[in-house]
Amino acid sequence: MNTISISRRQFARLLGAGAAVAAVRPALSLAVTPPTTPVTPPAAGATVVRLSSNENPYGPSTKALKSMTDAFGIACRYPDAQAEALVEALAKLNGVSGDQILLGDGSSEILKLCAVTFTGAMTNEKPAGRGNLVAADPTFEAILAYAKVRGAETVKVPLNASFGHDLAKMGAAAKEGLVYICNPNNPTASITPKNELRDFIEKTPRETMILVDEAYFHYADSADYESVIPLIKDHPNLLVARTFSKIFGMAGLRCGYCVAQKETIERMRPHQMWDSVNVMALVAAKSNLEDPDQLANGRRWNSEARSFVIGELDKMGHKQIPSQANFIMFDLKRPVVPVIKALKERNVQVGRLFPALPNHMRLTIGKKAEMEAFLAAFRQVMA
Amino acid sequence: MSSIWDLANPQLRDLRVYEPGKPIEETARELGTDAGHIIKLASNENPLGPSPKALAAIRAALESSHLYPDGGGYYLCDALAAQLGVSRDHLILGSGSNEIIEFLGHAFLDRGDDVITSEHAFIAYKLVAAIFGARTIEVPSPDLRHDLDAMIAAITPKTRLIFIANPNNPTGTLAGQEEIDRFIERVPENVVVVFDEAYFEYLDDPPDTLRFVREGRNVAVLRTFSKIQGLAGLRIGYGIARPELIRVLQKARQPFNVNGLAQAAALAGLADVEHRRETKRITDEGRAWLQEQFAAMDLRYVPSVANFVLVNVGDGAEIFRALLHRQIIVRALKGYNLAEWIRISVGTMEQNRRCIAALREVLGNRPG
Repeated sequence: MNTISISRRQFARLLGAGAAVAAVRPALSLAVTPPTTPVTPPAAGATVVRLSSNENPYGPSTKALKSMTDAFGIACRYPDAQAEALVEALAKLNGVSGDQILLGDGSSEILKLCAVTFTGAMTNEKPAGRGNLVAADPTFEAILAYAKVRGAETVKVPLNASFGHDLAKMGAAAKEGLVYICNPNNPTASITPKNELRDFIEKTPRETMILVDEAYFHYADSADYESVIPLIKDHPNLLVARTFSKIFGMAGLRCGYCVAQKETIERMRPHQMWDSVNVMALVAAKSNLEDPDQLANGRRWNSEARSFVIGELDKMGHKQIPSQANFIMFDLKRPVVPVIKALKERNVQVGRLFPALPNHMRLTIGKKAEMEAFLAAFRQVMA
Repeated sequence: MSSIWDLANPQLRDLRVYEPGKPIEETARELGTDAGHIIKLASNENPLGPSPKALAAIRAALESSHLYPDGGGYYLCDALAAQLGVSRDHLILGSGSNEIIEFLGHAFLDRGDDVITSEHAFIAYKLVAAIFGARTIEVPSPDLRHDLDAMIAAITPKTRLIFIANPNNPTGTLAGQEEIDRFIERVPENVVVVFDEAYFEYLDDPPDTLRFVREGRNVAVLRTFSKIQGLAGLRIGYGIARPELIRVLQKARQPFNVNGLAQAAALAGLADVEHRRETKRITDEGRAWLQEQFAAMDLRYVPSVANFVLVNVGDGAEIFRALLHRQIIVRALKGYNLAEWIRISVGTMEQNRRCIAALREVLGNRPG
């Protein structure tokens, strides 16, 4: 074979490309890199009060913990059977068939798969069924980054005066592609009323996909709120993401899922590598679902600690956006960034800056003692 | 709307979905038996399980189940960097090394691009090419070994990635150092070469591919905790490449891709040299014994350097089914275009003996 004797230099010339670097897809160079900062250990003797990531401080059900230690014997096995068992349980829970459920490595993977499947650059060769990404501002922004990796245009539509999604403007901005609706919304803890959302889903053309992220579904108790899972049967363009990271207390284990029509799931499935959810998360998720106390306790404890901290903030004159989640967002009446920093110095971590609301702070509802520790540090900082 | 395929990427239409080894639980259910009676030698898992140190670390990490994991895997990357003699910015963690294959696709593949790999190579490469609309050029390997010269000859101006599983799954063959050195010298600089070294730790005299990374070439090396570390269920693997290439791959990673238990288990397992040594010992012993048995049975097999052996049984699918009825799961390889063969993972000696006894029975019963 002649080619064997060709040197690398000759080869580069042959290819007409002397480039020393591999061709990275241009869209990727514009994408955001996820942070890789380590979890900083607290100074000796200090405990960090972590109210920054909307985690459930009580963790998963004791049944879930036991199911994980019981699974040590299968830790060396690929987790296909356990994935199947969880899919079955979720299908039953949501009144759909197993082929309408897709598991993810956290609901983040579901968001990523939706971006990969339904968004893309609007070029002449645009693949059918893809388009831009429309999301609220502020909202949970992970999906914006995934859409940018795919080279898609992203449009941010400000929340309306009551901190709900401005669905009319979002619908108008959609060019096929995907509309992302986080309900209840992170970071504002606000909901988009059920009638408005139902109307929007009815009116949206089928070429535009609608992803409703219901990560905080279990905490919402307003009469104006509902899950849109029951609407899926009539809407092939509707997808719902759920997670085990919030009320199920499994953020560290990484498990979430998507519900949609079978054909919609089938469009996403080829974009996913296999075995993305680990065996511990799979068995823990299933046991969590079987423990009714997990939800009842999670709701009650969250609501008690939230009422307590809201009462204290009211006394200090800080108005909150009505919360339907395990966190609150309140008006600081001054820039939040220096306050975040000052609290951090006192070993209290709160939510980051959301540029659309620079004078608001997002605060996770922890245990009552953690809320007391926050309030003590907060009073010092604000004094 | 006529068919969903009108909307889907056309290259996905003919894509064969990855078929994992048949799970023990499913087999037990079908046979109406207890899962404890089933022997699974189908997915190249470690029959000894993880290191006891790794399990202890998981137990300790359970109490932080509710906290998001350390996104970049700071401590694990530090430990890996020290062990490999590179700096931390040469590393990226994946939810299994298959996730890093996906990152490579996100980073480098678009419609119309080419990916080169071997015929009979791990099917993940073909799958990732299809996801991003790239074409896979499968270089023939008539003797079931990588033909690196032919891979060089197959390079086109559209070639972005070359995948070399070394040792290769499912054939168990190895490309040696000299062969690889010669190959790397001739690969154009704008092509990224990926050495998938999932079975690296089973080798007596492993070729050094990290030297290419240190030289600043466009080479990525993939390793996993699913094999010798016995953590297949936990989903964790890693990639090693020059820092600039790692920075590119990081962009395709979701912030919390690797769960906290896997990170803790991997870190503890890494320190357990004894567990790795014992796993390698039983693998070497079991593999040698299996190969002796195949020779004694006049079966053609491919001498393997990994924790599995490829053996020609005439009709792989039929023998797979017959073994399944005897409660033994192996892997049929029609999807790899190796219909006459089955792949048997090396188990404990007791499992190996039961497998061979069943195989003898099955082959003896086969109508002439």
